[in-house]
Amino acid sequence: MTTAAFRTFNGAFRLGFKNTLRGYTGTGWLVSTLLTPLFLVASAWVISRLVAPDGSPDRFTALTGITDYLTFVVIGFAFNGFLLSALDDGGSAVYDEQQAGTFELLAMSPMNPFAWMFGKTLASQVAAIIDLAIVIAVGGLLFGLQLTPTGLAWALLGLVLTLAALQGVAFVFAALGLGLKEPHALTVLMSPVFIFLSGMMFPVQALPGWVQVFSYSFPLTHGLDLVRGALLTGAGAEALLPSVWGLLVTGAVWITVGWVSFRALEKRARAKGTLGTY
Amino acid sequence: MSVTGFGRAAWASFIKSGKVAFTYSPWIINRVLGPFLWVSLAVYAYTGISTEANVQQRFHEVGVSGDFTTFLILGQTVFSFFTAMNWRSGFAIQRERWAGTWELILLSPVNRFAFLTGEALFGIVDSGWSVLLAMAVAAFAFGAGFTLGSPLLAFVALTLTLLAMVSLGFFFASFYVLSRSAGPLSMAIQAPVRFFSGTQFPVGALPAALQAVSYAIPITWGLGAVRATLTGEPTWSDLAPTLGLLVAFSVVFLTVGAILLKRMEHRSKVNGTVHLF
Repeated sequence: MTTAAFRTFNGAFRLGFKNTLRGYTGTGWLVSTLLTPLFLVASAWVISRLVAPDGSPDRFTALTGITDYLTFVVIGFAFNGFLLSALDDGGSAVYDEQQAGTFELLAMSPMNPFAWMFGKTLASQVAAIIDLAIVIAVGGLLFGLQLTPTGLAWALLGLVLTLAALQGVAFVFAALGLGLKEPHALTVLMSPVFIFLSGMMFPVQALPGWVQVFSYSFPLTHGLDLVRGALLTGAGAEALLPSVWGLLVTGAVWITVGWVSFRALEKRARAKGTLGTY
Repeated sequence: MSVTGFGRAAWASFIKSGKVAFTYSPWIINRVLGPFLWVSLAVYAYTGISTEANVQQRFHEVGVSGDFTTFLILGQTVFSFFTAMNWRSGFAIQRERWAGTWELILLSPVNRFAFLTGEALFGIVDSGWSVLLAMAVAAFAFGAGFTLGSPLLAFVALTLTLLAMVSLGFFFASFYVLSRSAGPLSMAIQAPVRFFSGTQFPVGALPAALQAVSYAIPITWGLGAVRATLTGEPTWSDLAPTLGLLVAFSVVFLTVGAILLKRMEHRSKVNGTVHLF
């Protein structure tokens, strides 16, 4: 990365990070950030108690070999913040500038657009670590979260790679927001789809075979497999490496597709004179 | 304000909401697909971790007589109405703030409730077709079965449930006048309401202390009435106490909402925070 590109990345990242953190200081965001994961995990707790009052849900254990369903779900929901951030903040990266009337100016400036976009979306993803910490804290304090510390290094690797891979998803949603406008509608629409496909609440193996193909084309599915494998089962390198490769491959594909789509739709918006409309 | 004036203001608000709602294609796609996606997620939250036979048996043990997928589909249906009401009537004030028009509305000699009523009515019409479409598709996809004993009773139960939700939306709207973060607050209340109302699981599955919270919110009762009329054959006298409670909830929330809205508006004017978001 050249110095100019790095400066663009740094500027976009710092601005995006400060803006996101400012959001957390508002009462509404704080309440939402605390209540939503609390009740998501609580719902999973009630459901697991309902279907298996004396232990682990039968089908879940048969499919995964794991007996601690709640920890499985807590790890899943801990990554929900990254997913929402990729979906919502990817689209907002452009939308917010359009609302502020600055996107046309940015498009005119001689900056590296990839560095700018990467800085903006990564900032939101990094800030979403706060959401992850809150879910883990809720799981630990209220729902008896049990993790295997020996897999911590692999889990951290999974976290970093998932963050990087989800940039591609953010790029795709920035492109869609540029083309269709109203990126929030796309976020609201697609968040249940990706929650469903990634196995956040139940094992992906419970889905029909053809649906699993879609599941494993999404980086978060591999990320969750890696982190759960490391922290729940204490699996070794042999078992975890396929998830690492899955993350790298799907991440590269999503980033490429996302960036190419974004540039194509940006070009179209320039030609149609709709770059600043929202 | 005369009744005609109220009606005209509500109608203007209704039409304005409609035009905004159908401007962006992603929101239309969202309305068509969204409720079905959430139903699928709700069903797989069970069938992804346990066998259908076990889930069915456990539902029966906590007092659910019908099929669990029907239970979940109706839960998501009613909750989708709540979400629509929350974002329509409750959140309407914040949308006007974003557009820079809330101060103008407060300056105009229009009844605030007329403005919110128009928004809420559009919310019912707008969410109605998409939610009922999703209910039909989900029922077909997951093989759910409905039993419509008395169409009139079902209609009354659904209408009173919607009325209770509209009044709850008005109640929340008053708090959004003061808050600069109405959006996050709107989101924040959804998770506890979904949890306590019995959308995803029977209220009987909750610990007893939490069930008390469940029965303090109108959606729990509305959901119970709607489920009863669409999965069984209750009589008017069976549901009379529930319907009466829904009316009572509506009256209380509408009255308190009206008082609070007036006070909060006054306070935000005094503090000079009407336009802040």
